[in-house]
Amino acid sequence: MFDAYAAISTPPGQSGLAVIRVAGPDAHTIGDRVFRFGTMNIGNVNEINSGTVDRAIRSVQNLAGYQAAFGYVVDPDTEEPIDEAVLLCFRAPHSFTGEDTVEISVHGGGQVRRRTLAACLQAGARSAEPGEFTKNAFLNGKLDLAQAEAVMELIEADTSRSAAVALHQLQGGLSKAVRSILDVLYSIMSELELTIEYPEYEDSELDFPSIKRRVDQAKSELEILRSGYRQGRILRHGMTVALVGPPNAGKSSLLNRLSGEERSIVTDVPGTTRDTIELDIELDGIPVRLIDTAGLRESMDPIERLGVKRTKDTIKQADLIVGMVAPETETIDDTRLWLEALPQDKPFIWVANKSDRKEFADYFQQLKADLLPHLHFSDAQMICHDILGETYPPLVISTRKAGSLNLLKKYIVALYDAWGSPSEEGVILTSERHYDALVKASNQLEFIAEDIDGLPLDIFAQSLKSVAEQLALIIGDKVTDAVIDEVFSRFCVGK
Amino acid sequence: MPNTTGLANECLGGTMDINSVSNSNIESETERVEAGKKMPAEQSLSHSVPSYFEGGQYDVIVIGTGHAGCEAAAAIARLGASVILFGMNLDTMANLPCNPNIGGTAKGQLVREIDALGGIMGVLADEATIQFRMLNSSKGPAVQSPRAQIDRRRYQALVKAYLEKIPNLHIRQEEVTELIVEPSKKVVEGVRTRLNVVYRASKVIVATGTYLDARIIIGETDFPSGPDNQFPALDLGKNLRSHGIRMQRFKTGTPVRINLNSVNTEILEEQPGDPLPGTFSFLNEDDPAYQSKPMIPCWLSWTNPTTHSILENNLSRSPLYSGDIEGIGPRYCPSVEDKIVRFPNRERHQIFIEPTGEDTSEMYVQGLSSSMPVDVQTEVLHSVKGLENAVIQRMGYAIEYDCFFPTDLSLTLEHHDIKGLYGAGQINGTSGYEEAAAQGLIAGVNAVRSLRGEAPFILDRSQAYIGVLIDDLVTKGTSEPYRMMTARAEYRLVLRQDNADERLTEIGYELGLVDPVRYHRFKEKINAQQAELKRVRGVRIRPTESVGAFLIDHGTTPLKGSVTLAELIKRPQLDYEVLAPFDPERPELSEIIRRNVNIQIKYEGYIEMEADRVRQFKKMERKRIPKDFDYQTIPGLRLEAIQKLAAIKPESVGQASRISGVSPADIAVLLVGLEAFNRRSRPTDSLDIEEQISNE
Ligand SMILES: Cc1cc2nc3c(=O)[nH]c(=O)nc-3n(C[C@H](O)[C@H](O)[C@H](O)COP(=O)(O)OP(=O)(O)OC[C@H]3O[C@@H](n4cnc5c(N)ncnc54)[C@H](O)[C@@H]3O)c2cc1C
Ligand SMILES: Nc1nc2c(ncn2[C@@H]2O[C@H](COP(=O)(O)OP(=O)(O)OP(=O)(O)O)[C@@H](O)[C@H]2O)c(=O)[nH]1
Ligand SMILES: [Mg+2]
Repeated sequence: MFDAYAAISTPPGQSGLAVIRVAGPDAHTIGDRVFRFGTMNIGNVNEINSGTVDRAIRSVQNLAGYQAAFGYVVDPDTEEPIDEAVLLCFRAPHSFTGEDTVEISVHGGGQVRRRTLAACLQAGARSAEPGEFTKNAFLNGKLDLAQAEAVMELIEADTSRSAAVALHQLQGGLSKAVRSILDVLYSIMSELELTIEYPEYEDSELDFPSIKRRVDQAKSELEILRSGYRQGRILRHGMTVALVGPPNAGKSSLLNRLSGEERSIVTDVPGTTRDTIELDIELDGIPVRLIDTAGLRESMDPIERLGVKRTKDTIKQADLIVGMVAPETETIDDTRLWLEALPQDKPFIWVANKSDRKEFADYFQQLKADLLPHLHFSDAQMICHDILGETYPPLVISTRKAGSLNLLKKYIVALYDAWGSPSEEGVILTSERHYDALVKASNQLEFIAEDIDGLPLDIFAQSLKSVAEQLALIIGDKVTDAVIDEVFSRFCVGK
Repeated sequence: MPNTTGLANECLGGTMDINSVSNSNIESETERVEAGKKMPAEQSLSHSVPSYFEGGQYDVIVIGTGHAGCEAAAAIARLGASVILFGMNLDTMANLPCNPNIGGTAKGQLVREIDALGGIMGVLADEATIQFRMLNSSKGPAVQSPRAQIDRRRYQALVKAYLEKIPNLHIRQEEVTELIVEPSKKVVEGVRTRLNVVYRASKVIVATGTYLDARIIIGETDFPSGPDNQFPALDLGKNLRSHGIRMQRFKTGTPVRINLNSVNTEILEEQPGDPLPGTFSFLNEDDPAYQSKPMIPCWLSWTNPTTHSILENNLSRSPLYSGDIEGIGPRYCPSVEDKIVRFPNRERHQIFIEPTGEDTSEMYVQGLSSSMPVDVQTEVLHSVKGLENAVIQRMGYAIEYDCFFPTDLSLTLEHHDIKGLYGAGQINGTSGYEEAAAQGLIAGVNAVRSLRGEAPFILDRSQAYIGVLIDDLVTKGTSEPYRMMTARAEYRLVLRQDNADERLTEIGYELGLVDPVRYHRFKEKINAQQAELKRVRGVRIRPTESVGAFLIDHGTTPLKGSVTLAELIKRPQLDYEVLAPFDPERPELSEIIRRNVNIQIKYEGYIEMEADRVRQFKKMERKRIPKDFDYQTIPGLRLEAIQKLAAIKPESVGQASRISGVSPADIAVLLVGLEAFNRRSRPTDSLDIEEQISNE
């Protein structure tokens, strides 16, 4: 377990660079777990690009205070590169908070900064409390007395904001879902505590197969909840919509059209967009983050290939994929290839562009006749269509006719409404801290489930308790009291 | 402080009323008074009826000769202070009014801790043990608990004799009726008794158990009484209220006692104790004498559908359901009528028939606790297999009594509002002999330390179950009689019964509670244990053929290279003992040390993880909150948090964080507010509120 806390420390929004700050006694260790020195090598993610320099020397631990290093951020578990970055090392007490600190600067993209933060959390940092950096800076004598009250107000403000969010979540499914997992854990824990506390009681024999089943049940419920995190992010950062499709389909045109700005270069040269372009817009009052991508195709141009790799990342991160096809851009077989390669669990809207062109009618007929019968979209992919009960794809649009985009907009808004507003089943996780707690609980539970046969009873009970305590943080439950209550309400013990 | 040996029972003269007794004038006068002498100034009035007699001056007064009071008095006297200990009846000192055993889950840990700190319960219980079991011996060391059936009468006699031998400890059979408090400063000055004697001390420990305004209820009958038909204390409770002390009403109960000679044991299941009994006291743990004592069995039976229908048919006659009982009873000892109401689908409930002593045939019938009328209790008893003809010696009953709100106390068990007043035992809302004794020890030590101007003695939640117990009580309060449970401890893996001495004996020695003999024995044991641990971590085992065969034989895998002995011990299939053949250098060690080495090696990883959590926990415990800190001065703190903090008066930020209704955000604000406060009060140095006091 590490003692370090992390957060994105640049304000959200459009800025060129984002800084992820990690502070605390183990900040440098976290740095080493997520940061690699040298240039990012796309093709070969596992090879550390260290040349002749020994990796041990190229470690954050060995950086001096105020020293910067150039390199890239990786997912600490898979070593998969996330983005190029500059890491700045601070040594206590010479830092903002007075503790050991690393600041990782990455390109401004919302996904990159979130993935970098996620990598730090995965590496063992916990996410910072509201106002925690400032608070610790103050407690460590880095800010003067006059600032104390400002700090307190900051914490208060953050708190009331998160209270509002929390209320929102309680109305939604989060508290219900967490409670249902906790209930499973409490039922197991109360049985464990029963055998421990009342070893002579006749019913205190443990039913291990049933306990194992319930541990697995809790584990899978936790995983489902964890995946609900993305939906919660929509509330905070808007819904991420990736525009994908072959070169020249009109993706950049659509982005410009939806945003009302000329942000993305539009030409009739296929492969114009080489890198992803992000844009935060409001669509009928809802926050949407549009991401224009490089066209999907095999190409020899290495820079373009990098762009395509980014496109694939974007697809992974997006909340919704708008897949665009248009006449004369690629063969029907190629279209089928990439459509089928799309993730089955991600909402998808299929649009056919350039309906103003005369070739379109034939092309559309061809799609319907030759492609559609072979395609199978999952329920998860078709969620927008299901919500609105509209006909089967593709949607017909033309970026040259504003009116033709209305249905597409309606689809996007419908998805947002479905996910972004409180509902009974849809679980929404908006807080990084809640997510953090969930991830830790779910990792620990996985560990327990693996080891369950070899764990002595006292260790098993203790480990389950720490899982429950992580979850209880989310809904403010008192684990000890809850378990004791459960023991006495379920079992007739005592003299 | 003058230590008074002779006790006054002569008339002081005067017609002073109660108020003038509690007037601080008296205190200055008492400085002139020698116990046993008349007050010269009052001599002229000696013909009128005296309002009180002077009983003398003590360092500490303890009210109550239960487990709390006895443990407190022993600790006080052992620290060299003078103490007078009051009881309603000295023939029932250290009474076990309910189950005739000491220890059990979590409670056994408490006794081990009391013992490690030099307390009396463990040592004396070992002498009165008539059956011993180590509970959960197969479930991992962190949840093992010793429990012993106790010869009640013998235990009482042992405690009395033990206390009588301690110098400076006076025992007195006398009912305390009043607490004397200096009204303006709210400082304790002494007590007055039923016999109209005033005893003086600046520290008073109330350890009156279940006696305050106590009432026994059996069916339609109820009468004022303490447990076991002892006199109740009917005046003291009222007097405490008159000083502004809040009280709540709790209830508990006990089953019938029967004559073993009338029990058909032939058709019952016998429950023997462990074949090799252990001990509570670390002093006795290597002594074979305790392993060869003859032990007395318990007997096992069950309720049945007949039992249940008798109870059901008579529910309307139960005072629990007729509304006759207002006190709140503990969920963990429901009466038998409670059990059938709450768990109607259970076909039977267990009944243990337990011996209460070597020289008596009276048996305790665990499982039949009841406040039903006599006829119902009798019928119920006779419906149980083996008890068809059982002869009742004492009826079961419920008892209601007054007790403190423990949140009115601080971690030293001193009352927030009345200086010098301490509470210990059941009066603080707990239940159980061991819980009582533990609090007695802590209250006793703190009364003396406060008297001497020394720092308070507080065990935190990572050091001892005692710490968990007291922190829970004073921080969270309790809405039912509080019983210790291992589930309440967050650091159960480090708070084991086997290492209570490692956790606490050094501390007890520094306090002056642990005598040099115990301390040196402890040191010897620890040194040998550490040396062995070090050796085991160093010894290397090579992958020879015989080792390989042995490992496969034990269901594990052969070695690839050489490993340390410690690494092998950690394998689930192996332990310290079975590896002896490959460890020729192994020294001769006691069984206890061998067991401890095994535990510490096997659990090393988990213990380390827990130690990590303890370090995190300690950080917040070390952030002290100044006494009487004004929470109003912190901008941004929520009103609810201010109110809770001001009422509970936490001593550290850690304790504050455990108060219900205080949120993590409140704690963040509090931290900043405290730092601002500290900087204001010492403007020159700007750092930091940490590490002011560490109670490690
Ligand atoms: C009926 C009954 C059932 C119980 N059941 C359980 C159970 O199931 N499980 C469990 O763990 N515990 C049980 N207990 C509780 C356990 O007995 C007590 O918790 C424990 O004995 C309390 O110890 P104590 O030292 O606080 O007080 P006690 O042992 O009650 O001793 C109080 C002492 O104070 C003295 N005293 C009181 N008032 C005065 C006064 N005014 N002046 C002078 N002396 C005074 C009394 O003489 C007595 O010596 C039960 C108790 C009773 C009575
Ligand atoms: N007729 C017609 N032409 C369109 C429409 N939308 C886009 N185009 C044209 O198609 C060409 C390609 O458009 P872009 O928006 O650059 O296409 P893209 O998908 O971003 O292409 P790459 O960036 O190369 O992947 C441009 O010449 C656009 O003007 C449309 O609805 N109708
Ligand atoms: Mg483009």
